[in-house]
Amino acid sequence: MTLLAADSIAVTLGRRRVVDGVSLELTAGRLVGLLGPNAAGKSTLIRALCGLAPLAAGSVTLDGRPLADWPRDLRARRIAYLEQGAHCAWPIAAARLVALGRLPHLGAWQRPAVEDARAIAAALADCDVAHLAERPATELSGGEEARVLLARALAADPAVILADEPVAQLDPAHQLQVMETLKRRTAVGTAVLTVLHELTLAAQFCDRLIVMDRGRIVADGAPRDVLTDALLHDVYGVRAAIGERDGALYVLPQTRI
Amino acid sequence: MTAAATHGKAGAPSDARLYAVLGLLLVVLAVASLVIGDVALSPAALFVPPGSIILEEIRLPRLLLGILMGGSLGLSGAALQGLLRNPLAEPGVIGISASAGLGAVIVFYFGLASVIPLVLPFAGFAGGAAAVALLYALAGRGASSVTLILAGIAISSFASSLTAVALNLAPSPYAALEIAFWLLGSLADRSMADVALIVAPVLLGWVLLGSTGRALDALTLGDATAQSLGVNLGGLRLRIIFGTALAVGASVAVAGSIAFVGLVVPHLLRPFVGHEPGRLLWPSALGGAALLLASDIAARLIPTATELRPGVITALIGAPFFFALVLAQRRVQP
Repeated sequence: MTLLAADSIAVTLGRRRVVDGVSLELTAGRLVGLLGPNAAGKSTLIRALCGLAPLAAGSVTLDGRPLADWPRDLRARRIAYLEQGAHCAWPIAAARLVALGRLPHLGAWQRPAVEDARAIAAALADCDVAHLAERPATELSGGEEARVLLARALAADPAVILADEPVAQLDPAHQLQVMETLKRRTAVGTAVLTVLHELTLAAQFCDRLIVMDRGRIVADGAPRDVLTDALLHDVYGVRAAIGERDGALYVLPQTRI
Repeated sequence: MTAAATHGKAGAPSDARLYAVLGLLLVVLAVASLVIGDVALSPAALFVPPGSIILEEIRLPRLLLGILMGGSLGLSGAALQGLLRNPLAEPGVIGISASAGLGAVIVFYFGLASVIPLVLPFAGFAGGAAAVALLYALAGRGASSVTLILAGIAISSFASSLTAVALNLAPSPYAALEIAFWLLGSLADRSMADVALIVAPVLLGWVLLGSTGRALDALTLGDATAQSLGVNLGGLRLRIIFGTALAVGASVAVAGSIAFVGLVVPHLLRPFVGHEPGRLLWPSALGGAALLLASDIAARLIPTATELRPGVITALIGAPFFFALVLAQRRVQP
C-alpha cells in the first residue's frame, strides 16, 4: 500500500535546483534508505516530502491526497519528521520532549489522555531511554539525545517516518539499536525513509535503497542491486571492497578516485 | 528549590500548586496595595468615605493598572523568550517598551491625547508593533543571543534618540518635564479612565499570547520540527507580535516604560514548570503582576522626598539580574 508518493518534484533554494524531477513511492511496512554524497539533495527531499520545503514543480500525495490539501494537524499525525541535528532549546525533561510527539493528536483545548501517556511510555521503552525520562534534555549525551528525539517521532504513532541521518554521531551499538527500532516499526506497517551515510548499515537493514546525486535519483532497488562498484565509483567517487560475510552484505570504502 | 509540578493520571504535569501560590501572593499584594499609602487605611475603612473615595480615585486604578501592566510584561516576556528560544528576550531589553514609549511621546508632543480619544494606547501599540516587526526582521528565528541583543540595542537606542529629539524640541520646559517624568514609569496619579482605556487591548493581547503555549512547546526543537508537528509558524509569530504590541504597547502608553519585569519573572519561574515554554506563560503573567505590585508598594514605603517610581525599582533589581544572566550565557556559549 502506497502511503506517501512524490511525482516529479523539484525544489529550488535560491537559484539552485536542489531536488530535480524526483519520483518515489513509500509503501507500508518497508524500510527505505536514502543514500548519496553530501549536498546531493537528500535533506531537502525529505523536507519536501513532509511539506516543509515549497515545491517548484511536481506534487506530493499522502494517502492519495495532495499533501497541500491536508490540514496541518492531520498531516502531522500521519508523518513524523526527524530533523538532522535538532537540538532542544530548554532543559525540559526527556519524557516531556517525547510528549511533544503527541501534540498533533491533541485538540486545541484538549488535555493529554491516558492513551497519550501510553504512547509516550511505549516510545521511551522502544528507544531504550525510559531510564532517562526525567533527565533534562540539554544534559543528554549525543547518543542519548538522538534516541530521545527518535522516541519523540515514534510517540506520534505515525504512518510514515522521515528520518534525516538518525544514526549520525552514534557509536556502533547505538547505530544498530536505532536501525533495529526503525525496523520494528515497519513490522507494524509504518513506512520509513531514512537518510544514511553508513553503507553497510543501509545494506543490512533496508529493504530498498534510493541513491541521489546532484538532485536526481540515480539508483533505486534492493541493496544488492544498488551497491555496486560502478555506483560507488560514479556517485561517491570511491573504490570500495564489497563483499558478503555470514549472508550479510558489507561495503568498505578504501580509496578516493 | 525543586519543581512544584505533580504528575496527573495521564502523566502530564499539573501546575495547580504553583498557580495557587502565585494567586495567593497576588491577592495579598493586592490587599496591601489598597491599604498602604500616604493615608494608611484599614481594610474596613476602604468601604466608607473618605476611604472609599481614595480607593476609587487613587488606589484601585493603581492596583488594576499594576495587574494589567505587570501581567502583560510577564506574559509577553515568557512568550518572546519561547519564540526566540532565548532567555534574554524581553519587551524592555529588545526595545519594545522604548518604541511604545516613543509612540506615546509623539502623542504628548503634539498634544493629541486630548484631541483624539484612544490615540494614546493606539500610538503605544503602533510603536510596540513596529519594534517587534523590526526586531524580527533583524534577528529572526534562532538568531544568536548576540544578534538579538544587538538588534534590541539598535531599536532601543533609535527609539530613545527620537524621544530625546522630542524632549529637545519640546514646546515648553513644562512639556519636556511632563514627558521625562512619564518616561520613568509610574502607576500613580492614574484614573479609572486610564484603566478603561487599556483594558480591552491588554486583555486581547493576553488572549493572543496565552493561545501560543502548545506552539511554543513545539518550537523547543526548532522551526522545522515545530512545523512538522503541525504548527503554523507564520501565525504563531503574528500572534506574539500583535499580542505583545497590544498588551505592552497599551500599558506603556498609560504608565510609561517599566523595565526588566518581563526578563526576571519568566526566568525565576521556569524551574517550577519544568522549563517548558507553554506552561510558563500564565504563571509569568501572575508573577509579573505580583512583581510590579510589590515594586509599587515598595516605592510607597521607601521614605524619599519624592516618591520613587516603580519603574526605577524594577530597573534597580533587574539590571544586576540581567548582568548575571549574560554572564551565565557566556559560560554556556563561549
